[in-house]
Amino acid sequence: MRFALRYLFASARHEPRRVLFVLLGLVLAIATFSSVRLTNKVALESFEKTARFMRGSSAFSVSSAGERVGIEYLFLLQQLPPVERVAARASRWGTVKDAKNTKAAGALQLLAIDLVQADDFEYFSRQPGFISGDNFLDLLAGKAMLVTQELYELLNSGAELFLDGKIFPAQDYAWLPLLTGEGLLIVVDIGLFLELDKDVNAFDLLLKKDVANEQARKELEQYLGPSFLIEDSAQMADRINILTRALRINLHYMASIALFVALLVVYHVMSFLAVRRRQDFSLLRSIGASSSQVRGILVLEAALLGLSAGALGFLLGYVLADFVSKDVIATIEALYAQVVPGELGFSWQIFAETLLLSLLITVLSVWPVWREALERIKPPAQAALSAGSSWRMQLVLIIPGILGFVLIMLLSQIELIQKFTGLGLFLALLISVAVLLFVPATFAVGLKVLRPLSERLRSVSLLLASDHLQSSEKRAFITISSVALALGMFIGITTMISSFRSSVSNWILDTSDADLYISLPSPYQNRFTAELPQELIDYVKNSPQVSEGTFSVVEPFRYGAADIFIRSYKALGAEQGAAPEVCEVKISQSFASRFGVKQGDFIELQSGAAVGSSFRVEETVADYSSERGTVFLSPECFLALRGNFAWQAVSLKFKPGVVSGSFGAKMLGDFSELALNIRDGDGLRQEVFKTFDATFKITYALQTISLILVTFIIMNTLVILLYERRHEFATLRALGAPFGVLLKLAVTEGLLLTFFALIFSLLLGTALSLFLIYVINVAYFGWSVSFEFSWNLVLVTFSLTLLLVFVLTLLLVRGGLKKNMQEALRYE
Amino acid sequence: MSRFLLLFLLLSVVPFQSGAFAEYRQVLPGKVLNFPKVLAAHPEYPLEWWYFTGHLQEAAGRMFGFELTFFRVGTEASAPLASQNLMIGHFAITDDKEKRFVYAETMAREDGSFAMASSDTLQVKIGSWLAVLSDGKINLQASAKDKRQNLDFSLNLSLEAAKPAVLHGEGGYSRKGPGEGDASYYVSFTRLLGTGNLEIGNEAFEVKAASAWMDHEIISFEPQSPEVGWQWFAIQLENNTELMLYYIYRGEPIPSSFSKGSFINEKGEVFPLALDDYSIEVTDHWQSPLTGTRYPSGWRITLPTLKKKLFVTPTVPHQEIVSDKTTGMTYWEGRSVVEGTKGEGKIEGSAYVEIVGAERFAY
Repeated sequence: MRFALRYLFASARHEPRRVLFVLLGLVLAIATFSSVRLTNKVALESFEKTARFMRGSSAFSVSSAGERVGIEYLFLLQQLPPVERVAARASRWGTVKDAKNTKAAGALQLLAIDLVQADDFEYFSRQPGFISGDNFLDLLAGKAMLVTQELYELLNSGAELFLDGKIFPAQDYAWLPLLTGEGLLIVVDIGLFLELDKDVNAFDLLLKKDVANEQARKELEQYLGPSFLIEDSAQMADRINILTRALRINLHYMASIALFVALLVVYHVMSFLAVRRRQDFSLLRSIGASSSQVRGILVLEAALLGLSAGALGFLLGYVLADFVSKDVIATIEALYAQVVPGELGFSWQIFAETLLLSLLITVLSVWPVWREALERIKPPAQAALSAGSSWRMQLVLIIPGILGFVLIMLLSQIELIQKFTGLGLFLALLISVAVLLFVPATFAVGLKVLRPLSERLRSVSLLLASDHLQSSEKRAFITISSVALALGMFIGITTMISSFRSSVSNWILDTSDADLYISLPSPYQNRFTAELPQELIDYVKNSPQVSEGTFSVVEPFRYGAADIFIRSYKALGAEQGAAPEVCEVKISQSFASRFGVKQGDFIELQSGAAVGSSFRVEETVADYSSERGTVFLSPECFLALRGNFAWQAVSLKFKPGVVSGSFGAKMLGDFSELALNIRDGDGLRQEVFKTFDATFKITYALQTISLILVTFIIMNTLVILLYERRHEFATLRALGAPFGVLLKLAVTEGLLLTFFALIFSLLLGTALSLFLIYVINVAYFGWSVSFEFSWNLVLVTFSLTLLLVFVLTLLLVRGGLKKNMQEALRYE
Repeated sequence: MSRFLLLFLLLSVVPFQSGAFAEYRQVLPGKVLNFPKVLAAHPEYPLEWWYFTGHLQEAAGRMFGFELTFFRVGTEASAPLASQNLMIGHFAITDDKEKRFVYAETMAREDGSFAMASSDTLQVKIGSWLAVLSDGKINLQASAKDKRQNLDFSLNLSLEAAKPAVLHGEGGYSRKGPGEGDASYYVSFTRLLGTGNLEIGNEAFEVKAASAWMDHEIISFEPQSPEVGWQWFAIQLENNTELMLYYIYRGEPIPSSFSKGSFINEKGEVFPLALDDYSIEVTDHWQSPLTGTRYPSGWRITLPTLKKKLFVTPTVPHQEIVSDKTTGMTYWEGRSVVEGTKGEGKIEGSAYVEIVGAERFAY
């Protein structure tokens, strides 16, 4: 032990740069893993905090299936024997207008809860008392409201709040300290909210002290009847879990990929150490050190490095997570709604996990490399023989590799993912195993082909490069696998994003080809609550400039225990008739996938007025507006279902020669009191893309991480390759070989390795994008998009990677030759 | 009087600028206060409270103190559910033997059923907390959980006035500031006797003898300065007399001229006390580990005209109420014992003391 330590310290003192380089690699790998774990923690905490913020600690939440509930039920519920306290809760969408009142600055969510009882229901349990004191009575009287920091700043700059087309009469705004990030949310007292709207979404109940939950449920069901949905806190938590299931799968998936990449990088780094020490270890062995003593040195070093890298990696991971978690929150908010961000904070659990994992994988990685440390570099002929002897065996490995991929695709069934959230981890493991089997085997075959090819091409550099690769094939496999995996991740994610954008773009062009879109304030992710007044409808109907138009309405709806949307369209001038006996509806892909409904099936849409209405599914359509699922009804059927409704938006096409901007400006002037939202086709598309882009923020972070890893792995590999060939190069240089020849030799090997890695990354990336599009996406949103392969992406990625290899090789060869010449000549 | 507690609340939460309370009436002199109507709610005024404090002796002689307070705060809101009035409650128990102090607070909008304050008689309620005058008896009831200590506690008392109600100041008009409307209508029951039950955690006690004090104040108060503090004393002496007195501080660390008191003799006759009639000296302090505030924790009260010298000592030092759920203020309200002299003889008794503003004034 003492000997090992002394050796290591001497070694570190002798080559401090090497220690730093090794440590950097390990830290990067561990940081990737810990940042993903920490980000997961923030995301999951955000869901929990948001649920608590919105629903408090109520025993039950009472709502009506498919309907809002009249406030009069508050007094009924208050009188029920098991109930101690009742708090009404409502959620609406509104708009913030900028100071000029010409365009929507953003959509906001209005949350109305009983602030007076907020403490009893622990809505704000993390910050007790923050709504009491100076602002409390102002809040109750509607003289102030709690807003997010972003909204607070917006309002102070002169913007105005619009809810249901009215300017909200708050005189002052208090910043809501729970929500400091992006986002527009206002929290008002339910009493104030009822001045706007007499209906609420739900009632939260606290029970009397001695009443058991089950007994209370029975009594509530008895008093309220079947049209009310009574959810306890466990059911409410389940709903949140179901809603966010796909995101959690994704997060688990990312963590496991990060772990695997970390494993490969660690192996790389340890392998580098082993190779660097060959001479030292040979010397040690020759003076009598046993192989276990040599291994002891490696294990001790690995343990020290593992612990240091674990601690440093955690710190770096923390900093990374600080950046990434903001993107994760942005993604969650784009997908769902405003959330209360989780706190990153220091987690002892993740710190210990990182430290342990770092220690484990560095120490374990000693086993595969320690033999390598004791080996001498094989002469090319021996290496070729050795490669030849394992040729058949390698070939055999290809088959299980392919089978592994097939197994992944078979296991990637949505039902399984839905059932086991942890399957994301399992799938990542399978991919890893498949890569480990498939890549080396195929690489061995490739090298086998390369040798005769280089002879035929009479390329000495190619021949020498392939010989060297064969002599260090294990490390080459790992290099190729890790570059392929990291780059594959980049290609896969980028392909998925571009496919998504392309599909959404096509969908928008198909469904939204109008010149102008008009709605009242509050459009957000296709949630419309404001109604178009009759004079506006008449205005567009009678306008001689309008050639075509379509009215639309969309409302949130309760389908069983799930939240969906119902939507309807009517052409301008079309007559509305009576509803048919059996209404036919179209459903979105996400609805079909979420509820297992297909064409020809009947679905039950229940409303307070018409309980048990049966609708036949006519068709499944692509609709990217919401992952919740949408049912499209004719105006007649919409009316039959809802009892009454009003159009919320209208899209217009104009006769030739009409400038849509001028028409929009005139409408803004003619209906200035309504503060209309008017967008042209391009503006709408841009807005939709902005929303979609926000949902991909988390993947942008992943792209960046994968690129950093690729760069590091390539650099690490090149350093090892050149180190191994340093004597060869120095000797050639001493014999008079020009620098260009040596560079060519080095570049050929680097490019050869990278070429293999790129081919595999292309395969992996394509497989990953298919997996993301047809499996994860379906689980995530309930829809799939058309796979679109981008050759541009591949060309750019490949060119940049090869350029990177070239530049790095050039720099390393120049530096390395100067240093190694003398040593190499002495060695020879 | 005088719980100035809500005066502070008002200072904190109600905008006083230009014409605040314009829609509410002002407390002015000359109003005839009738019983029992004066004990009921007066929603035409912006603020009022019903303050019950007292000393409880259980069957084995163990002593406890209690505070149960109801506040009605006019909100000026017009929305149906925002409610015109907000009901706030504070409830605390002091356990002398275990040196234990538990408290809770609650709040609800007045809705006529869950939370209400009757305009006809003494009947105030917030959920299961209530104070009701019925058949000549005042019933108090409250059950709560001290969330910081995770301890349930409850109280149920039936009290009867041993002396008639007291109107402090000029026929109940008690001036607190320079303006005529800076005042309250202030009525007290200085000796309410009765029995009941008390529970703290898993322990249940039968209250053999309760001796309580009730203050009801109706307030219209527009202070000149937000820097207000006070030390208030409700003393029940064993010779069947009572003393109410307070020092009120208005921006300066010396008692203002609006500091007043009342002495109630055995027959229930009231003798007003002016600032010159008494002096209060702090003899000890206690610093809160929770808020860091240094509160007085022992007093010497000298009343030359009554020939009394009283030493007031808290039974438990940490009777601090951090009201972060409702009023947003922190104060000290605690059971104390009284020892002293009256002329040549000794005298004993019990007291409840309230201290507000200790973080701003060096009492």
